[in-house]
Amino acid sequence: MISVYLTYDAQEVYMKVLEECLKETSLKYELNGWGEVKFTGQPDITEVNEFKNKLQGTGIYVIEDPRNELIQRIKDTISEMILLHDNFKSKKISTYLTEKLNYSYSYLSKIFSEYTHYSIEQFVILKKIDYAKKLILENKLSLTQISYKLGYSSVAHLSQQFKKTTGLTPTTFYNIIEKRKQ
Amino acid sequence: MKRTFFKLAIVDDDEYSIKLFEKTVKEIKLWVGLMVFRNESELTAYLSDRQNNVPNILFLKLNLPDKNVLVYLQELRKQQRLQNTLITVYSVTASEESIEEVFVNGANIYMDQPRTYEEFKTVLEKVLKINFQYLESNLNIENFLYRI
Repeated sequence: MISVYLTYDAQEVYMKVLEECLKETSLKYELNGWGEVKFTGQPDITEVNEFKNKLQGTGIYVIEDPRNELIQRIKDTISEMILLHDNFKSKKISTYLTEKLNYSYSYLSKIFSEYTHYSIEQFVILKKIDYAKKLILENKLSLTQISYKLGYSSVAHLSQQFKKTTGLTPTTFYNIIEKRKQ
Repeated sequence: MKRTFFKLAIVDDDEYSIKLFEKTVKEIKLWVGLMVFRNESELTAYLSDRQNNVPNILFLKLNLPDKNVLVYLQELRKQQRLQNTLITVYSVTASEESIEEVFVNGANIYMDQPRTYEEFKTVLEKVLKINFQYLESNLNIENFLYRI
């Protein structure tokens, strides 16, 4: 049996592993002491994500910004609410978000628009129209049924909001996507 | 919080339009960087170098200096690495027919280009903000069509 006794500098190990992972990307970076990598210039977000993936299994962990995570949870809750339309009709978005996320609506609105450049209300409309598009293209439901499913008071209301959000009527939208397939 | 930085590219040979883009990007408080290409060959050359980052948002003038925009849209859409790039085509005037063709051939947005700076700024800001939502949220890019 042979024993080898080791001593190590944790920071040096950390820096070496980190630099190995960074070298594999074309990102420009600065290392600000412990725990922060600053990507300078115009970093490519996909490369930044690849870098994060490379860290997996190295023992170095990415600390996600808690506010970023909250924005994601707001978006997920909105999607969930639109898909489970029963909740959608009976509850206001503000009540639903407050109950689910345990923050005041004014705090949620503020942080959301600050980071996404969209208000929660605008995002809800965008998400609803995105879902309406999916249903229109599936061609299983009529526009009247879709407007009911999404909680609109009438087809006219849905069509109006569709036009306002996309600049196109539902019919024009449908025709363009169909032509793309040809 | 580290914010996402979006890369914009425009292909246009008109100096006035280029200035409008540059001025707006500088003034609006959004995290964007702008690359200017005077014609499609410049952009093609840039994209052919794999080391270069692809733009997140691409603006093409409807009347490109040296290529039909519909043909160019088809070529761009065939490239795997441009699958998630949002493409806007813009013009001061266009017929309904050509706007529809632009969408059918792969553009996400058609933008009526305003002539004055103030109007241009308002419209471009709207276009960028809706683009951000598509780039950062779980929304369907394939069905993303927007006319402004």
